[in-house]
Amino acid sequence: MEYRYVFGFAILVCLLGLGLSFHLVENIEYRHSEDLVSNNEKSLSQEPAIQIGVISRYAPSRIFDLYQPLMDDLSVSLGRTIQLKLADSYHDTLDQLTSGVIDAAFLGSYIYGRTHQERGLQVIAAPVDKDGSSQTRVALIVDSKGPYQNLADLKGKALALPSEQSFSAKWFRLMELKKEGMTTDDFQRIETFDYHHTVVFQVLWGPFDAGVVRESVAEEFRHQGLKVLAYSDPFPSPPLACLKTAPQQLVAQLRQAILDWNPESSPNQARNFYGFKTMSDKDYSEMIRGFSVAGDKP
Amino acid sequence: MRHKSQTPGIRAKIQLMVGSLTGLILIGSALLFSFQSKTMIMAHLNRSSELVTRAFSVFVLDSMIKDRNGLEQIEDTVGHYVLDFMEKNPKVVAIAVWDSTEHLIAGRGLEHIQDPAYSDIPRNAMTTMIHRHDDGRWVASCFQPLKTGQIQWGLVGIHFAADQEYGEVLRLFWMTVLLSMVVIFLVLSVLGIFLSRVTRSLGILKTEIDAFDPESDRLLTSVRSDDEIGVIFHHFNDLKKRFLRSRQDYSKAQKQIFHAEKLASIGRFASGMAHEINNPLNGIQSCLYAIKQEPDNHDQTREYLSLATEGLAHIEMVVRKLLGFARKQAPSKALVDLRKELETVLGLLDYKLNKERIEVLTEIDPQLPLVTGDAHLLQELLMNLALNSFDAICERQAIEKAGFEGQLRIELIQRDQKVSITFSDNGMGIPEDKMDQIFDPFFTTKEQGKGTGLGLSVALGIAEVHLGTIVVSNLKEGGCEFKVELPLEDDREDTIS
Repeated sequence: MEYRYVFGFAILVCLLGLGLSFHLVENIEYRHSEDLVSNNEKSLSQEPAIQIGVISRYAPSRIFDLYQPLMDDLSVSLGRTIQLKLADSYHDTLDQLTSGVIDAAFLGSYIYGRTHQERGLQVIAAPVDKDGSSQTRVALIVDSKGPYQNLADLKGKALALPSEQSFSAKWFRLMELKKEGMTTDDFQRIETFDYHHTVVFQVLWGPFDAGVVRESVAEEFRHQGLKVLAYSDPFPSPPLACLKTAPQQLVAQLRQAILDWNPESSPNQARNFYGFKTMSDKDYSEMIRGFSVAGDKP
Repeated sequence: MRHKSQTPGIRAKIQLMVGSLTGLILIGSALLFSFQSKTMIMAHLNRSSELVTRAFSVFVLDSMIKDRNGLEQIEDTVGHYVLDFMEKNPKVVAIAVWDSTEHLIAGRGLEHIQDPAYSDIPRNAMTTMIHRHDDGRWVASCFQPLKTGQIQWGLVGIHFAADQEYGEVLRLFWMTVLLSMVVIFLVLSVLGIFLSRVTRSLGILKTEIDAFDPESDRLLTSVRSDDEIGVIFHHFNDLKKRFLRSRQDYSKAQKQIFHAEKLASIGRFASGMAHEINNPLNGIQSCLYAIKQEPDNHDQTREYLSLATEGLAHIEMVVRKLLGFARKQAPSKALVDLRKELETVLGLLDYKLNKERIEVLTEIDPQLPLVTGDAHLLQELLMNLALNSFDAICERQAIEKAGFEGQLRIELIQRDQKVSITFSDNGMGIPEDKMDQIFDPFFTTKEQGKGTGLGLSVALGIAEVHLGTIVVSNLKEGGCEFKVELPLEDDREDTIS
């Protein structure tokens, strides 16, 4: 064997390898596409879209992320387009519903309970949790790294609440504080924010020591540093409601579609709900009666 | 004799092989590391651009939803947000926001990038890409479709400067290459130092082998090493000891064989010698008888005493020849006159040759130079060849009976730098199938008891001791020819022992 050939061959391989590698390393061009949910090709009727409002308890993009897949599924079931309609506040949505701008709306439990008689509303259905229960709770949250162990520890601290028209705000002001013999004056300050998630962010990364949000939102951030100090008693889930004067055929179709809806067979991968069930106004009236007893006024 | 190697030495071979192998492995590892680093850097860049674009898109989507619900004017909010975002993120070189009708709602810095055709961007997929701008700058782009369920709101594209990452990839590449080179150099240097220590012992061994003297009792210089090289040294010394012992045994045996064959030769021409001595003795006896019969015949007595003296001188000469041939002497080196030695041999064989009526024809160069060697050994060489020819002629005579005339031609001449001695006879010749065996010890074609089988073997041994050769061939006209060639000038001081 000619060793000089081996050496030459090794040098040649090294040089070629270096050249080729430099070429490959130097070229960093790249392109990658990750598909999102595919578009549903099913054609819908040309009838005017059904307008469904959602109270602004979350940011708009969050609301659409939560509700739009469900609306898409219902559109497919009904063969008719369903559009989400947002408003600036809980009352604006209520006004849109009573004025006929929208056909139905996902309202808050408190605002429905408080206004359904006055505004002539009826429940179409309400969501259930993963155990099939149509009741939910709200939670008093604090930063898990903080020193707070109970409500009394929060005296002189800052508290964040969602809309004053939300069950969360009402529960804390009228029930939880009284239970502990406290008043709003015991806090350094109490502020309200548009969205439940904003309350969480204010507690986790903002200047507020505690907040009140829906249980589902508290669970969402439990592993990111939230701790729950107290839960409310269970109350009826926020309903999908419409006017009692709404076209009965539409209401019936909508109710049937939403009650039949199954997340496991959702064509649009709507995984944010576990299903829906019918509710009665009585459920919400009982809740409002409790608030009234505690001093709440319409 | 020194051998200059035409191929690289062990040290060079090991360095070449190890260097090549190390180089390939290190370069391969370095390149693998470079590719892995590149992949990680690019993945980090893509992940960062994706995260930033997703975060930015949330705000844009909120604005779009609010805009569609009549809650705010997207052109106001997004425009300001784009400006603010770019100011706070220097790596962002361009941002573009399109609505679902592919109308550009907000865009900044697009003139600084080679924006991929918007139509090429999938509307239903998060797309990340890294591409090179015309001016050589690298740009990482991320396109986030704004979509909720089945609603396509628009598309956000954010472009990030990727020159820093590109530079980092190249820096890592050249660093690994440089590091590999340094490691290869260090490996080869350490290996070279190690091998030089190993090959130093081999160099000593080579020098010792070059200086090897088969006649000397000196052993190799001791190497203070217990490794393989040291073992080789010890084994070589053992080999040399065995060689010297074997050589001594061989030389001793060879001398014994030479002398034994000489005595055997004497036995073969002893009858002739006896006749040579007997004839003068008979003459002397007759003379002494005549003198005894006539003691007063002084003239006769004087004449017969003269004849007896002449006869005794002849006997003395014959005995001296015999003793001269048979004497066992220590080998010596001297200038030898081959003509004189041939004359002595022919004198000893004279009676046998005459008795068998074998004609001896000699062609001797009168200017034949002296050769260096042992006179007695060379005389034995000539005797053995002469006796071999004599036997061959006698054998043919026995077969052909009357009418055959034996003839022995002896040529003694100088050819180039050699003395050539040729014995040609018209005897039986040598069968071709026996030609390769005739110099083998104890090989003979004669009847049992007529030869020892050592004559030609001894002759060849003597020729070789004198660095000469013997070539045998059959003659066309019958018989065979033995040609001995002895060198004239040589360095045989060490060969005759």
